[in-house]
Amino acid sequence: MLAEEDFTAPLDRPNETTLQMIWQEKGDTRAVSFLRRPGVSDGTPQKQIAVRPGVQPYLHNHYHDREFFRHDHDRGTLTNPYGQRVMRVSEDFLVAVLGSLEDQAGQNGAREIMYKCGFQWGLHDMKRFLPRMQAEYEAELDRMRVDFLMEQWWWPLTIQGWGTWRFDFRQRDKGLLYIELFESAVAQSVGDIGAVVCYFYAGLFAGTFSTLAKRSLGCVEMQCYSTGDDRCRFVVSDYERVNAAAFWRAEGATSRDIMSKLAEM
Amino acid sequence: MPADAPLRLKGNFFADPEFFRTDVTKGVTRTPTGTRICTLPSDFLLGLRDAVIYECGRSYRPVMKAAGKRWGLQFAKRLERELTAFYQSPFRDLPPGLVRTCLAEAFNAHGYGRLTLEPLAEDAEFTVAEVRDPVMPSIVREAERPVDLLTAGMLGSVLTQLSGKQLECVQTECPSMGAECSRFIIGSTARITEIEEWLGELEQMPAHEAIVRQLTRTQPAPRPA
Repeated sequence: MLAEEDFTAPLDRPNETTLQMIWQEKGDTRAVSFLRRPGVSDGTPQKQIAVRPGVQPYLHNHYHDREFFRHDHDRGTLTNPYGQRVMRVSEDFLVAVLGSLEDQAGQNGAREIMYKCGFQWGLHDMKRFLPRMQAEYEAELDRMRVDFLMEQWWWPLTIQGWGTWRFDFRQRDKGLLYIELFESAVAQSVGDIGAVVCYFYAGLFAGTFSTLAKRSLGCVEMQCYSTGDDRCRFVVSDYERVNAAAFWRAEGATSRDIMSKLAEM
Repeated sequence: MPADAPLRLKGNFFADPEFFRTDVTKGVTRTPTGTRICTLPSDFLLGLRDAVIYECGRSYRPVMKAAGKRWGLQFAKRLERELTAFYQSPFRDLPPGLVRTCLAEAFNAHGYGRLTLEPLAEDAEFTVAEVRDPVMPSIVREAERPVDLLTAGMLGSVLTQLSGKQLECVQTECPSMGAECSRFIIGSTARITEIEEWLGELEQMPAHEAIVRQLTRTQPAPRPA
């Protein structure tokens, strides 16, 4: 039996019980009710994803603006196909939040807030995503490939304007996961300021991969569009390596240097 | 006036079904004027609120409101630029009713809820803004104080930019406290700051009408010499 959930844990370091509880959620058919095609399947979950020729029980490819966003003009609301409320903001919002948090909480305080915000975003998102995946594919999570889960998870973020990504699991045996982010909404809004700025994303990746790994992980941005690079690059790992990577970055190491040092740790 | 005809025929700036267009190969959404747009899920907003509360404690309210203010200023400047180009007429020359409609349509198109702006019946110096189906209270279901701090900050800055006067905004009703909609009062910085201080001293949030009574009863505090 699992220990009780710890509500006093830091926002970006939930305990293992909290993370494991997310995996215990059953399939949430309500979250995909808008995507269901009636009469195609009886909705009974299988061990693994069944190959089903012809019409699929759920509409999977709904990643176009008009299919993804449901705008109720009478109420002025916007929801996604999973019934979740969303709102659109211009790049001004991200720049304003970043600037305002720095004014109010100092540079380090602002970074902490953005990272923790991202971490919580990742956790809450996973709480919705994992039950939704079980319902949409009528299969158990444990039998789904991690790369499949990852691509399914990121796609809504693509249509929501958060850029595209590429992940690299090749050093997973060393406990290192690398992520490349293209068209970062934060960095491209802020521009080239000579410092990494994608703390929301770093937190988001940490929260998401902590849930997938069922243990608390950290993430640090090694290079950023805002430091003049053409893409942002992150490493997700345990806290010891993430702190080391942050230290080397602060010392002026390039992402290539950091990666080779991490591999030697 | 000959200039009126094309103005009336312009319609709703945000009505274009392709107004927000995403390039799915890049994950980038833009408006027709090229502005980068990003969609915030409720999980992001909840995460932001939780993180600010965690880091700032009791002072999270001014921090969130300050973020809203800064956002509102840029939001209004952009709206002003875009509407000036759309109507091909200086923004200051546009009828106030049209500006209000455009602002409400901007709220609607971005998914912030339905906005109406009316002068306060008791004192036209103040404006009452009502937002039906606001985002933040739909996420934070229960609270003892209004939770729409980003919108409060934003509305104050937007109306400051649009009116050319220094204004401030306070939220007086919130669906998180059982109200039907979010309601805000916008007025001079001095008067609204006084009301905010008064609200801060009270244990329980009074009703909108009580706040209006307090607002219209008190005289502006004399400015220090």
